[in-house]
Amino acid sequence: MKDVTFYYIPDIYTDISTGKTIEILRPKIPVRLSANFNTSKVLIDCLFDTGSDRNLFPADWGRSLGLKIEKGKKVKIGGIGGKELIAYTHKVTLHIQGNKIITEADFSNEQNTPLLGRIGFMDKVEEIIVNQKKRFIKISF
Amino acid sequence: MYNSYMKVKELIKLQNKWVAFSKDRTKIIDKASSLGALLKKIKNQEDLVVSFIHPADRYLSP
Repeated sequence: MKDVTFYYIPDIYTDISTGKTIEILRPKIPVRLSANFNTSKVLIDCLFDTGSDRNLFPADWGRSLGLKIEKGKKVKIGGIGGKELIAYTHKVTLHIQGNKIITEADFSNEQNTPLLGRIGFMDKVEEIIVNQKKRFIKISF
Repeated sequence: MYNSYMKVKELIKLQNKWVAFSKDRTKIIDKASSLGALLKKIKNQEDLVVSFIHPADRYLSP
């Protein structure tokens, strides 16, 4: 078993009590993506989201690898606020610090933040430990 | 250990944008309002990490 650890990534939000914009740390994992016999050279930060059923990526990421996004299986995705997205499923490989996960991801034109969800990510690794106090995620492959 | 490599005032300027950072995240290489535009600008250079900087005026609840 191989373990890799990722520290949370700084982002920003405006504190509603003070009105000040401050740093917030979010659990993001840098991922390299393969699809359609192409592999992205850049790493893209994906939010680790236990509330997400599946992996959901921006369509532009898939297009950069030559995927014909709308040729994938069309799926509907419901968010917490009831907003519905249309996405298209494709077979992909996630590369995480040298570890490969062969899986599926849904690509949507309406999604910005790439999400790693339970099916297709969490269920493909041995164990994930989230330490909110120390702000890290440890993944065992 | 967590390392605060980017100051809040710098991140504020980048909100709602896709940003390409150096691998150690200390330098901003390029930015764009869409991922597709950014990937074209950086021409898939190696050793960059790309991140979407979420708007500060809302919590993130995907």
